[in-house]
Amino acid sequence: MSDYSIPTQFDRMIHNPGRLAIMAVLAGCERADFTYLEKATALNKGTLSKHLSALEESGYIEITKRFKGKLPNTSAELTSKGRKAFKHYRKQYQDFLNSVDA
Amino acid sequence: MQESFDLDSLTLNTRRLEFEDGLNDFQNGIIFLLLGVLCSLFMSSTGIELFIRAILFNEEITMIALLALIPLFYLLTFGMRRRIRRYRREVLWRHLGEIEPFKWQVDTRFTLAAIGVWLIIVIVGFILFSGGPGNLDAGMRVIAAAGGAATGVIYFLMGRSLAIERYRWVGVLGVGLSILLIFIPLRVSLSWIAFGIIWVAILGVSGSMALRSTLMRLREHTV
Repeated sequence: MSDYSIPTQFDRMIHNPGRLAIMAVLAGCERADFTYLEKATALNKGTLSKHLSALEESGYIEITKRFKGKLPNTSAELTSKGRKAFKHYRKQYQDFLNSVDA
Repeated sequence: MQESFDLDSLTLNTRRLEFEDGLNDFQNGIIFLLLGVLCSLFMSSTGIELFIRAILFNEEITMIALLALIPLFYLLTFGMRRRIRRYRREVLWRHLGEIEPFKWQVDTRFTLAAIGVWLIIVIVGFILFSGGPGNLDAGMRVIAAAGGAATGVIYFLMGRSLAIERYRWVGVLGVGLSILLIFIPLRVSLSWIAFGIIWVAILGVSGSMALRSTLMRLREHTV
């Protein structure tokens, strides 16, 4: 039987489509820079920047700013808390889909 | 932002990015060749004789030279990795942005499967070839062949999980040629060289194909 209470338990920080896309990309590597995240998620610079700050504040990602040659470079990586939260979110989502299918 | 996106694809595309340009294939091919040469040296009668003489007659220079081969191997691997990263940053990923791939992309289950295959081939090989005194080479050859087959299994499973078609073929070819190696009457040291040649050839072809299509895509993007 469908369990419609599951979506109410979703982590709202991750459930936002933009932040979800960022988390999904970062789940596939150690770290990714701003340009890659922008291309992979198709978010514009402003929105991406806003979402990255929100994820950093929640402790899900860590942002590093450094210089590569003369150019500034911003990169982000999932923290262990972020990896766990993303894994948990995916499990919850899958459980929900399974309950709908059943 | 895209209207809809597939979570798995986002993660998968990022994970397989480092394999798409084929540079990893070249790097691994060279590593396998060097590994083959190192094993061949340490398992050849000349290598063993040099090692024993160095211990018995206290020949420090020979000993240092022999042992220096191992850190040299690591230095070379590390150096290649740095060069590849730089080439990607400056050429291949210039428009794409940069990622730092996982340090270890091989799933633990795949490693265990490869160890299982290695053990099975070694045990069966030793049982089959331990019949006579002349079969020592054949028995020892099984170790190199099993190593090649286990590597092939890892490539095949990685190809499946990361949806990289060419790695499935690399895996199948690697397993096939490595098993064939058991039946070619080579001496132990030569069988390790053959192990290296098999892998540098397979990965060289695979890497060239991947790099060619990446460069073509890059050219289209620039034009």
